[in-house]
Amino acid sequence: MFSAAWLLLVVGYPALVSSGGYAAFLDEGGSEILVMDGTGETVYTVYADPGERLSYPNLRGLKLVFISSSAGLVTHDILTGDTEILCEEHTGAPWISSTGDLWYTLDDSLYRNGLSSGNAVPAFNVSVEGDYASFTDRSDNIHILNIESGQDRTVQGYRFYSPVVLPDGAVIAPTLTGEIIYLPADGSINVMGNGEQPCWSSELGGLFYSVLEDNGDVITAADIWFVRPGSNPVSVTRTSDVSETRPGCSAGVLWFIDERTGVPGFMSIDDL
Amino acid sequence: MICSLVFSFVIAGITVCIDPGHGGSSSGAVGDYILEKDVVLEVALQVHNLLNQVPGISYTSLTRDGDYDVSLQARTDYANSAGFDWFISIHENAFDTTVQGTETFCGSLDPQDPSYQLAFQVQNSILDAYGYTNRGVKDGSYLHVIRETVMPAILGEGSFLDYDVQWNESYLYAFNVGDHVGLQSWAYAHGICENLGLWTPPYGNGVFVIDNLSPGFAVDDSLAWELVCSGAPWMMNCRATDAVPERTASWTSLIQINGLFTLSSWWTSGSDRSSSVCYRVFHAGGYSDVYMNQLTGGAEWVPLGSFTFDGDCTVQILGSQSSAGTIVADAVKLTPPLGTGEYEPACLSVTRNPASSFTIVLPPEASGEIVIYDSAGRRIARLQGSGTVEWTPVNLPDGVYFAMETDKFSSVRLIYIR
Repeated sequence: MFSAAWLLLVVGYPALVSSGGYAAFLDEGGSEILVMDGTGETVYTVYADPGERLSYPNLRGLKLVFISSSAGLVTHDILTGDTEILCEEHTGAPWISSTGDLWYTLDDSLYRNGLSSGNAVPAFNVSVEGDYASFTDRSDNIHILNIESGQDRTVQGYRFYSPVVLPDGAVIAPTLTGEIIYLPADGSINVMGNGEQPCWSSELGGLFYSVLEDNGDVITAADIWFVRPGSNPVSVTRTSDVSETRPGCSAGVLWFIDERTGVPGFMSIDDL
Repeated sequence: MICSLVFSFVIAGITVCIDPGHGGSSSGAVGDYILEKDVVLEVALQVHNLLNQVPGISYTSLTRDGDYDVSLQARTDYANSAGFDWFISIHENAFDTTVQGTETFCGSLDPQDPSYQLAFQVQNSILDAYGYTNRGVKDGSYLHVIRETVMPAILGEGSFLDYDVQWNESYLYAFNVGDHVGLQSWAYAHGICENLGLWTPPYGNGVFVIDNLSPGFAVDDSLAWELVCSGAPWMMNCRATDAVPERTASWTSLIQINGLFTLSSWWTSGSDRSSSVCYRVFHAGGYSDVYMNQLTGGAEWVPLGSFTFDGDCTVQILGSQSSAGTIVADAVKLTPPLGTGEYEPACLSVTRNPASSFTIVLPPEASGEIVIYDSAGRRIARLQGSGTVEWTPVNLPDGVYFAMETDKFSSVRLIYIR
């Protein structure tokens, strides 16, 4: 059903983010960011300077943004190799919309292209087109913001983190108690499943997420599941020798990382 | 990297994510009287409360605030997505009931690494609090919460919860003997604040100090009261001024002080000092004036006396009641009735074997006689005194001993010799 390929390029426990036909991996220790295409080929590598640690990579097209422990908030153009420091302070994870807007948090506030929204924002996400934003507040409530109208919908009662905004303004967010909550624009609140690391696939109209087991010290088992709203979840990865986590989807490809080895892999999702 | 700076901002307060281990279906270590998940939640809640009092820490949050399951991945994703500056995971240890000690894990053993430095401070702070075996700062890079967090992270194992040889560790937690939970909580907060160079809130149930840099200290005129170097340990400086009638300095406890405390003062002496500095102590019975000669002494804790407080505690230096010369206001210390050490709770002492002499302060209503028993109930010593009694343990094996009032036969102090 699925074809899988293994990329024995990165050993460690990297972060993963995907965009278009590309995915960016951060290696353990934050010394390299590797950008790969849909065939698994490394097309670009950003190396940290000695003593420098890279974190929070985000990718949109060929524009890479990340945090450097020594330089601050940095953008890097993969095509030209140009690097630019946007903010020398310790910002939160940056995010680029398809319109090229750069979002990040600093001093508890959400910034868009350097301008503060004034909101206290521990964690946020913005829709691909940049017309909806979602962020959590200090009470771990979730806010869904229509950028144009300024309308702010607040959802309480869960301890949300890492929201994901869909193109239509719906939001999917995991909670600390293990649910994945789907918050569509109609105002309803739907538990899609129990898991974490949700990743929405616009192509498939469904959600990939990981289901993990741990012993209190380390992860002991991990698999990726897929669910469409209103349907039952199905296991996507059924391998016994690999613990797939951190799903990231782009153009017909499901990216993941093997929790045991830190090795990234991918599989076709055309036939899901 | 060669690049250009486009815009820049000013950073604000420090954020700390506190992670009580386990929870829900994951009990963690199992003690006879309590589970690890319950101990670490209580410790974490107290650390949370303590750090929330610290100027310079803008925000703290808990990965769980009740008894429910939170996956390891959710804990680290939560911390990473919110961009916390520090991650503190709180655990207790277990082995085969015979091992006791404290250890702290971090992501690197490089002394320059921020996580190592934090782990080192927290480890030492818990060691000071409990006096257990130092099992060291260890490489915890294989632990999920350390490996997967992007900020400096530590995981503390304050004690072995299942220890049951000379005493039962889980009993100490379950019944909070000697404020065992509060002691560890304060030790975490103290270690974190020390590492960050921040003020630590006073330890509520034990000895604590109000320094001239602490919240709660005030002078009538900050220009007239010159800030001068006083040397270690009390934050290196003090306030000094001429003993004229309008000059007043005061230390006020920001937490409730109840019961009998021994009050001490720290100053630096000098030839220009006043020979009779008036300390006015406000207590449950009104106030008392105590006079100290700052020409001599100082550079140590000098007792002003024992006083009973009913919530409020304020100590003043009054220029109007002092003799001519320079008067110095540095720090005051409140020692609870049975406390003798800097980090000791009211009813627990930990000391090395062979132990040096103990001073046991008797409660006001005590008869003046104390009997020391070992854990088997054998009488070891009978001590008598007025207000305090001295005990020098001689040729005693390691273990727990109980100091009891003979007329009430109630335990007044737990002494752990190791």
